[in-house]
Amino acid sequence: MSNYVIIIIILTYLAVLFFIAFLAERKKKSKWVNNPYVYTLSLAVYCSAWTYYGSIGIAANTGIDFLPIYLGPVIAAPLWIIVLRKVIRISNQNKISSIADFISLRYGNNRFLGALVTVVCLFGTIPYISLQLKAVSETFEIMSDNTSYILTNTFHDSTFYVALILAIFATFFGTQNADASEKHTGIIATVAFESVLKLVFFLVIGIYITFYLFDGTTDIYNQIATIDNLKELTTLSGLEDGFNWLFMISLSFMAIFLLPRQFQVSVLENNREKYLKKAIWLFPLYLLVFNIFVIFIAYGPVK
Amino acid sequence: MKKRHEQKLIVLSLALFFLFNIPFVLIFNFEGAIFGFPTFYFSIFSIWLLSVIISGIVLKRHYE
Repeated sequence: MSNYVIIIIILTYLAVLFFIAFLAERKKKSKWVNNPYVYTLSLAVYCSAWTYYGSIGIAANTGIDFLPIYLGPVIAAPLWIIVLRKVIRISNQNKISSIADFISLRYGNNRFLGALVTVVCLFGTIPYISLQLKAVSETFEIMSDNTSYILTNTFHDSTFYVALILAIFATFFGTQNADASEKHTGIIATVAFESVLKLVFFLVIGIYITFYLFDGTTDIYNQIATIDNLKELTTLSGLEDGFNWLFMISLSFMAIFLLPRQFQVSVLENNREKYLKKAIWLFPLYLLVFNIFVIFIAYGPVK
Repeated sequence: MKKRHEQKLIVLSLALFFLFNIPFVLIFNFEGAIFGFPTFYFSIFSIWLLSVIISGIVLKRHYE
């Protein structure tokens, strides 16, 4: 595809996102943006753009290790009925505006602690964001004709402009109110919309590979059953692997509570506690559907 | 939601933690496939689905 076509597609997509955010911001009280489904879909910000490359890459190269990232949240979800409900209540009563705010509140509004948490979050988030942008730029590279181009200047990098537009988006819709603990309906609506798109595209690709390029799941399995390292890809290889697996699960278990963006969508943007009734079972279901085709997308090209 | 119903969800979470980790996860740790899913994946996915169904039922019945 020509670069210009891709740039036009990207711009149209971003315009749609702006439009949705704008609409949601105007109709703040509408049922379309205030329901448990939008809340659950906004939680799905957990699966980032990198999921496409990360999950499938890991599934193809090292096997089962992509699963623990999602098993932690699955274990955590039933606990939300107590833990998350309490956190939401405390945050609403105290007008909490970030995770640093929340943690420092628990220690008597300790300023130093709040600042420390903010700095840790900042340094934790920067590589994370860069990974997202890498996903964007790699996709751009795959889609465009001209792949031999060597970057010499930041201003020639398309990802730089994508980052710029996203920054403008976040600043514009994130600062509609002077009060930082106010809900950001516009951003949440776009996140929910993106979560639907992510899932739909993933399923379309999965179904296309599994049932169109191959003859169903059994066919793929039979075709790859001949490769040598299949056992390593589909099982835990021993006690050491089992412990790594445990640590990864523990890590993702904490991530679902403590990732700054996760805290933002699950606690700060929650406007009714009762959304938890749906979110506790729908969110693990979303993750499950998201992961079902990962192995087949990964194995398909191997044969 | 009454405390004893909340406790059901806590127990579910604990059960998931044990089922997804060694030594229990090793029960399904062998080669082979069910409906084209390698056994290990199939077992994890089924436990996952089961937990969604159980928590859905508990919440539907007891959340007020």
